[in-house]
Amino acid sequence: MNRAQFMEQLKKLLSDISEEERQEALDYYESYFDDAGEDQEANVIRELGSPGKVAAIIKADLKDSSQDYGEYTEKGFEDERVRPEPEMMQKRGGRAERGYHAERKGGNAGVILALILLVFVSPLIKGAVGGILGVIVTLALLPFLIVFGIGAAVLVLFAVGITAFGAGIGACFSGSVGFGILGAGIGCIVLAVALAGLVFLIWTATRVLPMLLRKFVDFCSRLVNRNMKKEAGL
Amino acid sequence: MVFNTGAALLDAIVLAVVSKEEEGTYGYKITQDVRSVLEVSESTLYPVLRRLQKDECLETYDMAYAGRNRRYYKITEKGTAQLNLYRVEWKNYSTKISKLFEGGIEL
Repeated sequence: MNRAQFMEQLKKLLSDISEEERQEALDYYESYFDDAGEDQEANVIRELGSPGKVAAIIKADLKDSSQDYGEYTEKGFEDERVRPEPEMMQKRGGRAERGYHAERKGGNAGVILALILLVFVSPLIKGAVGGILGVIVTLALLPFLIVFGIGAAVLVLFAVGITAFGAGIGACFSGSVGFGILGAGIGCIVLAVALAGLVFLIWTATRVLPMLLRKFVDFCSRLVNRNMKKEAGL
Repeated sequence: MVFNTGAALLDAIVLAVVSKEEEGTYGYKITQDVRSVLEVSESTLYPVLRRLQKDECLETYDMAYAGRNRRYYKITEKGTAQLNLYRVEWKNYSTKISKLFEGGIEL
């Protein structure tokens, strides 16, 4: 790629920013090439990287300094830039946003961690909280047990279905065509049931369980909060 | 370099480089000067210059050079004030870190 091609591509890539900003950037880089001198042209192009990179950095900065701090999605850009670590002095929208996300993630992890801890220490604090938590934990684990049971049943059904189908086909070849077709048919039906079971299982695991888990976590945190308030009251 | 250069530090370095030239200096030279002390990609500096210009820390003027227009950047009063602020901040920051590294600080 030579200078003219580089500038041409850059111009195209900057077509979605304001005329003023585009012209400013293009002027700058034209000057840059001029000042570097013809013999440095290849070096400059190599150093600058692709026109795409140059354009991305320009645009990322424009977005950063614009009034609308709401969106911050270009983590990739940040990585591409030479100054990816913004923790020093200036606070800008993107940074705050990122910090906020991290906090929220931490919060969730905390709740999950607390829940796991709760399960483990529940026998210990059983006496103290009157066994209520133990019951809750058991109840909470029940859906998982049910899902596990359904899973096992589906597996068995699959095995039975495949065996019956295989045996039926086998019987077809060894003479008793009627029984064979019957066997294969039953195999197909069992397989269908197993498939339906599988769909149900997936639905339960992806929709119902998370919902139950959420409710359970909410319930627990309410319970803990109330206890803490009570203690604080005493 | 193992340490990252934050946006504020890069601003400070660019302001310092530009402030060295009373008559102003131009993009290519600024880039070379910054790169003599810090490993930065050449494409990093344009947005910095543009932003500092918009923040009125730098002002620009065009002057004919070798039959074309060259854009010069010059530090403004606001830019000088900002640079002084950065200098103080940097002094505090770097002194503490250096002390810590050299074992002189009580934690």
